[in-house]
Amino acid sequence: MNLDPLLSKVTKPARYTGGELNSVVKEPEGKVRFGLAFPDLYEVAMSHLGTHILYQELNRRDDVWAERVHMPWSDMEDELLSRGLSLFTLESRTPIRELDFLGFSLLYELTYSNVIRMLDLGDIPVWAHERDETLPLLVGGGPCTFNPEPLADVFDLFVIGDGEEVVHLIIDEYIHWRDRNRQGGKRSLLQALSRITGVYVPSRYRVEYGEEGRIRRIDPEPGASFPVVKALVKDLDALADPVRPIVAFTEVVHDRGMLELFRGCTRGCRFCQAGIIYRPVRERRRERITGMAQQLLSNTGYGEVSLVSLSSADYSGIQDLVADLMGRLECGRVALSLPSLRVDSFSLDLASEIQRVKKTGLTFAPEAGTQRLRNVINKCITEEDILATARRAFQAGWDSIKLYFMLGLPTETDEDVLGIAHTVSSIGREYSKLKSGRPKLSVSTAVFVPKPHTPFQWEPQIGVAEMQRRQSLLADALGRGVKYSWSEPEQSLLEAILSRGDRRLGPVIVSAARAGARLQAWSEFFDYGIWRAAMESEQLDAEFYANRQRDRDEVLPWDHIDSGIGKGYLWRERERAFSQTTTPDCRSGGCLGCGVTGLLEQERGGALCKG
Amino acid sequence: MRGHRSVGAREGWCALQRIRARLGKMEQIKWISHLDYMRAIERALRRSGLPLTYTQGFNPHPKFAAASALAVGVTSEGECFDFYLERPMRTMDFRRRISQVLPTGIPIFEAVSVPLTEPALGAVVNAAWYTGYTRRDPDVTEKEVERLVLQVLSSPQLPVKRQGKHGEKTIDIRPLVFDLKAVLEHGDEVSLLMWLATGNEGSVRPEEILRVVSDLSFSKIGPDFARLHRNRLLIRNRRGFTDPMQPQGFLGR
Repeated sequence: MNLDPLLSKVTKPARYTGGELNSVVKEPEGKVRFGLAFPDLYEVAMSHLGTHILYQELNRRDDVWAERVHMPWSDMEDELLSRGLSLFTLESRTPIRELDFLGFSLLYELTYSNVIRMLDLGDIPVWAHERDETLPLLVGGGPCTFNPEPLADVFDLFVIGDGEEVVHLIIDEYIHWRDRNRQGGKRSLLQALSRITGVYVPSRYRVEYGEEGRIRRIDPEPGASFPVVKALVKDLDALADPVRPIVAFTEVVHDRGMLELFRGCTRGCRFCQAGIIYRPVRERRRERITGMAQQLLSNTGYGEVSLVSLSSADYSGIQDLVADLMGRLECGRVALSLPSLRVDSFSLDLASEIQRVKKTGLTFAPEAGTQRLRNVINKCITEEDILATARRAFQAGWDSIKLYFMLGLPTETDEDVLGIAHTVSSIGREYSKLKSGRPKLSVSTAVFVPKPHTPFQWEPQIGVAEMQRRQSLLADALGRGVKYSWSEPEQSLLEAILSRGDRRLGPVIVSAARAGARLQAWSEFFDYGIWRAAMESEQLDAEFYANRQRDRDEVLPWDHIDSGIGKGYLWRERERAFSQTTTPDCRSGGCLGCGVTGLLEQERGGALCKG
Repeated sequence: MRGHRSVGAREGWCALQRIRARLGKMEQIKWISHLDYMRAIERALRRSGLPLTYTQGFNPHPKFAAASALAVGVTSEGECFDFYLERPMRTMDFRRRISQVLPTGIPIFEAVSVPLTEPALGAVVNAAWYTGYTRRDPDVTEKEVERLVLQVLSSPQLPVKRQGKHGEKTIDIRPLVFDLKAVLEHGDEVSLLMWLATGNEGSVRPEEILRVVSDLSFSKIGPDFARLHRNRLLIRNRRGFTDPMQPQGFLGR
């Protein structure tokens, strides 16, 4: 297929041409053809560690060829549509409907309509029941699958939890079925797949709605597991090292090598879904990480390596690891970076050690503006921690600090909002004590979106008008010296609707996508009007999903998805939040009985849980 | 390392050898930008373990320089680069080792050692030889295309419109067109060989030449390139063209 006439008309054509270092081309004959689909742009996908891991994991097998496909930018989408061309894979330019699997990474609710548009571009029916076994099996993975219900009627199956091991079991089962003449058709394949731990086949569950649209019950068909327990890779060191990631030619969002130190986090911030669904903490051994770093560099040629995890400074022996890496990485010609820093002096010293040469901006996330509210969300840092860290940063030579906060957290009052401005001006005063001139301070706020499987999963989101009021209250209080950026209120609303949504939102997503909702994570394309109309035509109400207080005993749409963390624990944490009681990290204190040990076949607080 | 002079000491880096190499940009990667192309080479250098000189400062990177940027969508077998090494090595070893790490789509064709004192590539390369392929009406004859080329070359002026920062302006590109040839190809194609100015003292885009030819032919040729290829970068002086791969102080292969 000669794409030149097409590519010469679009922006950044290299998004669509593949051929990058470490991309894989195979002889297709006899292989299971797997499309790793990402419902956002190439440069976002290529910054996603999970995509790189699965690509390598699948392509290690001789019987599989994994290729990539992404959401095209609007100009390319229009060109494909006007020329009647199908969306194709980067590696072999195969139309996506010819693949055996299409596996979407679901990381952000606002990309759901892109899934639909990609299927439409590939001429693949969007509803699972309209696709027979000649069409690709649609698999969803990633954090959004902990409540995949809005897309339950679109996907054939979801992988809940870590994908590295499950994906092999799925392929094996598929090959077994394929080699027996696809006996029993798609239905029999799905039944077999649903026996794999971590695999959720939504068509095997029926949801019954009761009065006022709440769920009455979720019924599994006979033989389907209830609940569906997430897949867990117990030992990251037992996996093949993902040290041969694709190196994009074009500049992508994170243009550096990524080294995953550990998975999971036990800090217990009550708004944080990642802190729940990736439990327990599983660390890679230090020698393994340093070895991986060297291989990663010699396979990619990156000039920077980033140590990624949910909170990298929490890695046990992080100082030794950093010293070790700094010594090995070619006499300082490769930079290290730590993207997720806690607000404390330990993290800051680590950052100065690492960034000896490159003093780029420093970013901290106090999340809330008063001690009271930080206690509510269990972000266990004090005002003094924040100021001391800022002071040290200024002393170490930084002049610019970026601060992340949330607006609309449960129990938030105007005092808490103004507390953000107060904290920021205190940081400014610390600077004046040390240096002349003014620091570059920037504040960024996101509106709190209550997420499934968190202690705040029952809480309402504040309304759009209230979001705007609090944003302008803060903007006024911050004054002119501080750069303030905020999130689009209606994007936060849509995220709240979809993240705790049920199956009735499926038709909303499909009709919004077909009414023009594309690239909704990009503000230049976001259009809430389309969604409002789609909700109305399905007679659904935004408030029901986003702004309603749920009862303790309400059946939640994701109740049949088991993250390993008990609902009882989440409710306890919720109660503690409302009484402003903090909960210590179970790695320093005792086991809190979150329930994850149930996945480990071990006693409370056993070896794995201790990290 | 007696006998070698080092350069760059003032900027904090120090090289003992300069290797000039000619690389390509093949079909499969022609849609990446010049910056992307440079970064792909930089990462290959980092993977190679060659004794590259690194720049000092916040963000050390291997020291190398391109002669001229290539437009997106154009293939090439003429991209020239100077690489600065902190230890001398044989050019054939350099070539072998770098070809092992260059990504698919970036071949290396030749490498020579040039004196450290030689002026920068970007300062001397001022011309480029392109081949463009375009469609033609089937009845276009050899004679006809030769006449068209002659017509272009004998024009005293070739005004073209360009989009500048402050709106459209017209410039005369005739002094920047050094030579042209047209060859009838099989099928409905004609190839246009163009020797054009490039670099700081003015440059011509091959598309501008095709537009002129297409207009003169009353659209029997063109108006868009099907493929465009840069054959060589060149140094043009009073005596004609010389190859940057064989500079005056050429030391040997």
